[in-house]
Amino acid sequence: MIDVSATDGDGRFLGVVTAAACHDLMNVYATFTQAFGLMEDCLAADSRTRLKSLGFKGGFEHKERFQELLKMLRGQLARAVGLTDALALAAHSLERGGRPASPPEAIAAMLLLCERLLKRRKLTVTLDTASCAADQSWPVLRQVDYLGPLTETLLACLPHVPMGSELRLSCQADAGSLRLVLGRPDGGFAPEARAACQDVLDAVPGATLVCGAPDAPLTLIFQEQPTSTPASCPPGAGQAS
Amino acid sequence: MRIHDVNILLVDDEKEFTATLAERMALRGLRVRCAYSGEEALKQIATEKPDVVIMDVMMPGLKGLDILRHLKATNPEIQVILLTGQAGTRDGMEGMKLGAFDYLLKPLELDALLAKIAEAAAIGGKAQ
Repeated sequence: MIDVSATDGDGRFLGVVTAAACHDLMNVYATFTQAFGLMEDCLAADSRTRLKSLGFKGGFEHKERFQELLKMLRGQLARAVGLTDALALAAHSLERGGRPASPPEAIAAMLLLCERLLKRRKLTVTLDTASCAADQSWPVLRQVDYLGPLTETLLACLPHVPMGSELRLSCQADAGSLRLVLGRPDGGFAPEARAACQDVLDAVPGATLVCGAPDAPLTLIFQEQPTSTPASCPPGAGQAS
Repeated sequence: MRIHDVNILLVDDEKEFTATLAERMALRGLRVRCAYSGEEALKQIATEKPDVVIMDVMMPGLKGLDILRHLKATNPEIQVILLTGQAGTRDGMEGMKLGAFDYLLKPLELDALLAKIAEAAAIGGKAQ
């Protein structure tokens, strides 16, 4: 369901239709899961039948191949579920009181959705949550307000990082703000990539890029926002079924 | 009493999902019936009272939470397990407040559901 605090018209439209489609896709996956399970049940029953008919050459001769294929299909289904779950989270990212997800969870989902784009340069982005406690309290932010600039940042730096490189992204709560730090595992960052990100972030409201040395990691700060519901949104607007 | 003695009602408007899940449960010797809408579920419950109802939250017509409210007012001994999409955890938690035994996220594995049914039936004194 879409919360009333989503304000952007285009974003709201995309949020509503995407969330509704993701919900339906999960129903499709649920049917797949049970159908695969039933096929496995049938194959297992075939084995039992064969054991009972000792000496009888029968049963399903392609059983092992089918079991392999079912395992592969289950793997692909798990992948689809993960992507759809991440997409559903993104669809709710305009909401302030929407689907509960901490910044690390929301960023992990965003990275999963962007994996195909990052693969263009074989870029690996590792989310470092080592400094986040399980009961960490986070600033109140709409997910879109930090996921959007972060995605723009990654896309901007993409052409300027070496093919096959690795970036590390850390996420911390810091005095009513969310602090994201992006850099190489050794702590540096390509100066050209930093300049490209600066250009992009200049046009994005809400994100503050911390000044630093040209090869220092990129630090983005997002300040906590007021939580009141905009008066322009009528109660109950955007309820998806 | 064993889990095989538990009378189960599956309620979901996704017919292929419900029928396939019911077939798998029946293959394991469980007593299971299906209803494909909230209205049909209420009729079946009036005819033969189940021990455990497994019900999708988001259905056309009577919603899962509406049926849950009705059941908890009229047949509080029936245990209800809600099924919800990944984004529906709020509905699941709302259901728990209304008296649902628990909620599970779709897609779900049969073993997890069977374990939950056994727990729910044990509350009602029907399973070991």
